Amino acid sequence: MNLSVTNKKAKHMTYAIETQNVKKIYNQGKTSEVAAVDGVSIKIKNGDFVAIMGASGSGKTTFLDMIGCLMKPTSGKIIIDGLEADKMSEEKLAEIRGKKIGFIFQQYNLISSFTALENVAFAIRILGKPKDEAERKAKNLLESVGLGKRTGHRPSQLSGGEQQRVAIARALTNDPKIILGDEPTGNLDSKTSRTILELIRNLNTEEGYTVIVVTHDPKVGEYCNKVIKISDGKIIQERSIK
Amino acid sequence: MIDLAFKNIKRQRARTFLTVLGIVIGIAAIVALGSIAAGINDMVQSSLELVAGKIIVVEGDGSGGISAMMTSLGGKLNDEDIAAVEAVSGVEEVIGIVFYLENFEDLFSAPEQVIGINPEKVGYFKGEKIGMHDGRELEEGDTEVAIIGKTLAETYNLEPGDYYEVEDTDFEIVGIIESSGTSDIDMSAIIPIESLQDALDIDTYQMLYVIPTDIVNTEIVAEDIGDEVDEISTITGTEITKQASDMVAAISLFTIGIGAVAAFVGGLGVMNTMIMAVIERRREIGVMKAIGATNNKVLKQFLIESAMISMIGGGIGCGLGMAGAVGISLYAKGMITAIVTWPLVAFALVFALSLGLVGGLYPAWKAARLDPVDALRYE
Repeated sequence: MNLSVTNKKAKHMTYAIETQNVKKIYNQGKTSEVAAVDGVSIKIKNGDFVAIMGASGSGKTTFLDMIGCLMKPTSGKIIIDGLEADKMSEEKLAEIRGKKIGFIFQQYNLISSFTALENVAFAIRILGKPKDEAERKAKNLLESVGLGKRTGHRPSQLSGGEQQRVAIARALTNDPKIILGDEPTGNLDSKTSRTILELIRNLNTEEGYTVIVVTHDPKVGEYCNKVIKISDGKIIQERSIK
Repeated sequence: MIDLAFKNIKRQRARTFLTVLGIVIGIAAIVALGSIAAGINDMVQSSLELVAGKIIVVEGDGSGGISAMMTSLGGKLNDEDIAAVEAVSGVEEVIGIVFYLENFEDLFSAPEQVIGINPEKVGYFKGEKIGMHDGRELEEGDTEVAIIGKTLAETYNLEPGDYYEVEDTDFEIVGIIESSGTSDIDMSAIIPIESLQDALDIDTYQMLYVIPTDIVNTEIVAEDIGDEVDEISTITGTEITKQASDMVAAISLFTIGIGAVAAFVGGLGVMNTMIMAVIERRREIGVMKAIGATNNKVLKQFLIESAMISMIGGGIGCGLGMAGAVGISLYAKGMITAIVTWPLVAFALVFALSLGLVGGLYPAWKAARLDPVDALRYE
């Protein structure tokens, strides 16, 4: 009896991200066909901090793009916070990205002619919020990542770590449930990498964001509670860290 | 969105400036040239009102149309011709007119036109609606006096009591005619015909105004005059109107056409600038999409930016075009009066906006269709 209740609960449990046998095949049907992601199934609970690790070309970034709703899989299921994303229209995928996901990139992708405040406010305004509200929220977010005094600086006047903080603040503009990082420390020295990883961990432990980071940096593993290793588009190891 | 778009187009200041300049030149050309065309049209219409319902008789075959008529200054129509025309059935009245051009050396200014006419018939020449700005009209019995057009008075700073000289004869100015908008009147001195003939030592006329008994029969009477009187030709208001309308239409088409071509080139500039912007801002477009901007939002953002470039250009262009129109009017005093009309300005602005939207559509569509993954990792 107890067992059946447990099973029922498990069946209805909503994961932050769940994938079932997800594949991404390029050049399908041609001699150059390649499976960048080849049948990956994972379940990431709300509040997890997961590192997806693998060598260059292992398929980890393609997988991140798919769970970030930036790319559709060739086959398989992708469920984001209970919503089946794999068959959604472009519009719906944009809506999920806008409501549930925040992205952090290796290259920061900041607008060079905008100040830190403008870069963050821009992300809020592009979704239709008024200027005042956008600037107020951008200021609060920059303060929360420790850049309260650097809001008027342009990217060229900020260090790499500071630029990544701006990018993190930008990733939080839509109050996402999930933060996806694509090599967020890839361009940073080891000391700065640690401060950025600590900031991301704080967002995970204190603010409750679910974080998935794609990286080949082994240090990232120290901050996570789960590490998934991918090679040739397949999961080769999945381990939880207490 | 508007201030964001403004911020974006300011990023590449030099490029935006040059693109705006392209639109400015085109739109300024449309407004300035369109205003000149409107001014010419207005001037011609005012002149046409003066000949409406009249038959103009000139010497010769009249094949050169209006311009030949206006320059047939050595006309040899005489009192016998007047009598012959008066004898034609349906003719109410015949008025002899002497034309004399003074100071005709500057191509960019309207020539001064000295008109000799019976003082009681001045209304036929300048129209009854045009009154006096200062002084009085010509009256029966006037001899060596003149009334002059407002532009002529301003050009030489003349007022009633001053003298206007024609071939060593001084004519006392007794009145200034109010501004009519046509240089035929505004640059004219009107003098009692006998006094002018004396001054010029002639007894002929360059032109006869024929007033038909019934305005409905103008064309028939003109034909009869042509048939019955030798070595003259007639031209009616209808013919003049047609010739003038064709000329004005051609001028309008030509001037607006030049402006439109210039503005179209400006529109290509907008397209070029926006294509460059989309290429340069690929990663930004990727970020926009990653944070949830839909294709439509991206499209809209870029369209607003291109529309803004063209509207800034359109606004400045309209201002410069209006200033240019005023400048040309001042420079070619009395000859061309450019008229800026709100419909023309509205047309220019709508045209500018269309250029921005059409020129920006393809780049914006390209931006909207960018794959977010490719855009984000564009090197």
